[in-house]
Amino acid sequence: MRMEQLDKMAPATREDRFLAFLDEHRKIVFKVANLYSHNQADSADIVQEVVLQAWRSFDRYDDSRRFSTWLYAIALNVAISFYRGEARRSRMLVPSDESVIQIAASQSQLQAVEDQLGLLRGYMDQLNELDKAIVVMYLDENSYRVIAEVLGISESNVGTRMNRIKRRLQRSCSDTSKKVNSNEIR
Amino acid sequence: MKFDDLERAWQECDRMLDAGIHLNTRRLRSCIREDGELDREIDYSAPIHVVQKQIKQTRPRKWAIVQALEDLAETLHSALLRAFPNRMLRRNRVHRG
Repeated sequence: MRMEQLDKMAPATREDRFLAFLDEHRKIVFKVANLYSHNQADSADIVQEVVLQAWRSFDRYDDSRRFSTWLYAIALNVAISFYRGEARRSRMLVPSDESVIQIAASQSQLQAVEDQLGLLRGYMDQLNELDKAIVVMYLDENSYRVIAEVLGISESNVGTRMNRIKRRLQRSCSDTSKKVNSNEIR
Repeated sequence: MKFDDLERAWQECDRMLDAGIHLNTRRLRSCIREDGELDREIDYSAPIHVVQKQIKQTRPRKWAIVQALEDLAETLHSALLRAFPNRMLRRNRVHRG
């Protein structure tokens, strides 16, 4: 749909369209929010801020760009600002049961999702916020070109950073397993 | 651990989230309708490199002082946490000797 058509839409229709797009890509917002925060309250705050910023920018959304790429940029920018403490945290404080994206699962499934997210956080916490953004997008099968577009760096820079990240993760984990082995020997 | 392990963990998480999360449409609609206090100076859909630079430039100087104090407090806190058990262990060793 062209932007001119979007402009002519009644507000309710534009709102519906935004919700439909967002629903289709809700996993992006959820994963980014959870990987840049350490508790459910912070995660709910990030989700809400991402949704509000996306809604505000939706008028300017250029449909020649993939919606997922556009949403990644917003989600990562909000999450990184939050991570660096630059977001206006005091304004938020969203109760977790009132989060914009909710986990619709039984208690055991909820625990499984939390455990899996905890595992991913454990792997990624040793990375800085920009490297984390590269890894998140890479694992979601985005090309170096798309990652470069969202980060505002060159494709070759993305490739170099990605190789460095892989080496670093591997090195830190082999160090950890060496320590564990030496403790077991003792 | 190899990068493959991280990829596997990611895929597993992705699979769980496919059916495991949903939009709270009622909450979402009310949020976007009362979108009054939002930071309108910065376009968050621009590249990260550009947006983070803009945020740095537009934030007030007061914030930088607060941030520096927070960093200092965090450094002191973690240094104390590291030093305390070491001191206790050393003290115990002296007593046993």
